[in-house]
Amino acid sequence: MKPLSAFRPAYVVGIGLHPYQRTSDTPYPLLGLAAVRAALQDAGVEWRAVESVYHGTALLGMASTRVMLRHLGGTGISMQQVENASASGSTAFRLATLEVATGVCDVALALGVDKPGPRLVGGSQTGIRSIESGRIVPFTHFALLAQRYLERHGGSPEDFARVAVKNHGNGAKNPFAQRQQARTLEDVMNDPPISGAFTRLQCCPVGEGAAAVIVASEDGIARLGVDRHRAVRVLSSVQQTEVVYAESSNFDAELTRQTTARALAEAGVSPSALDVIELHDAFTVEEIFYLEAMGIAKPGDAPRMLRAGAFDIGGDVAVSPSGGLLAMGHPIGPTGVGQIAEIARQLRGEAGPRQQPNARLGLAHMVGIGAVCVVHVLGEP
Amino acid sequence: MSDATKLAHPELYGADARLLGVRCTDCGRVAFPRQHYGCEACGSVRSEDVELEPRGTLLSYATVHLHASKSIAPPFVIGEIGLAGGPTLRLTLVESDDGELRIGAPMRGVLHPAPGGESALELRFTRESAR
Repeated sequence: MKPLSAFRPAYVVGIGLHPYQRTSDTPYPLLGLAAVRAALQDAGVEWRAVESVYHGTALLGMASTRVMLRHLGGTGISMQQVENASASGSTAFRLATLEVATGVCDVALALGVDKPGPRLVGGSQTGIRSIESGRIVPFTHFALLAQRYLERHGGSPEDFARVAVKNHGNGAKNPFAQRQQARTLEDVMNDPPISGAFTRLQCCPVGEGAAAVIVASEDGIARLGVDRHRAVRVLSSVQQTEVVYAESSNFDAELTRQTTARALAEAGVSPSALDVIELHDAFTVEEIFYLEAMGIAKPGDAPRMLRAGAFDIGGDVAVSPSGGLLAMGHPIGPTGVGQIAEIARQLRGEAGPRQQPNARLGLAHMVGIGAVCVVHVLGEP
Repeated sequence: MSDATKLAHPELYGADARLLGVRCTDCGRVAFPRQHYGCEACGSVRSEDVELEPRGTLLSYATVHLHASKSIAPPFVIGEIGLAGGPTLRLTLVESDDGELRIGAPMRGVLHPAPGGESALELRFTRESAR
């Protein structure tokens, strides 16, 4: 296995989003086209310059890519639909980056577009029946882990709720977020209970939206006249899957620990050097788990650091300045691409009221059921 | 077996509430539910069926207040049980609220009427001390 650094540099040169929102009558091509056109405009390149597309989507169904992108003008380029559960967009970005880094092409598009819809999940089709009879959905999976965290480290449900307070505050400053309303600790704690310690505002909304990122090589940047001062370098890209861990371990955190450690090592970056992190906070407690697994906080210490403001915009490291999955939303396919867009915006210094001061290094993390984990580290222009 | 004792999932547990598991004869890993596709730890296809005592320790719990499926009405309580025989499993508890539950408490499996009006029994766990 070779690290990304074994190949030529790849850069994020354009970003574009369609706001994440509640499911509407808007046909999905309009979501995707808005994001792609915004990314092309941001990069200052024309559609005909794009040589390859990876489209992360988990819910749209078969053959949904070209019938959307044909409205940009048919150029005959390679288009590949990518499904990797919640990490679909992250994997689409990884594949676009690898294709550029290895020299197969100079300009690639990573896209995420989704709308909620009924889809079968592989785990329910294996022929091996589960004893929980479909009664444990993701919020209860994480509620069980949250209860164990309280048993091991002490603390209270408010420690988890404060993640929602921070991320909703960030989302309130993000015009692309599905939830744009700041919430108090009382708002979060008094919200309707969902499972275990979680109230509704501690669970991410799954709606619709789109995110697009254009990846280019130095040759592509030179040929197209792209502004180098807004080109964010991809320093590492790592994707791993779950193994058999010790019985009853927190496999999402273990997988995150291993994947992040590799991504940071390949980028030559220490955890404490990160300025911005976008992570898979589908449920509040995940931010606590993953910050500890990444080495940002010592085991059991993330709630204290959160209370002290370490993860706020302006703190030691801004965690989910976009609002994260909790407030920006989790439309599945777009989510991982949207994280890259937010980090690129931060590292360019163009995040406006959400700007982490002097942001130089960022990390994007997604997990997906199955279970997969994808981590990217990005560096300032 | 009469209708009154029909099991909701006879491929998962027996009428004595013992769990139907599998043991890899190469690496020794004991797994539940039973499958013969290959060992998740080492990939071996050599295995033997085993039955696991329905006894263990409560590792975690969560009361579920919202459930999209009509198969069971919330609230209900899910427990995570570390079986004495190795595997961890998560399933519905007999307890209808979490007031008496303590992590680390001994738990046992019992057959319990399945929701939905069918006269089937499903495996749940409950506190060892509960009667």
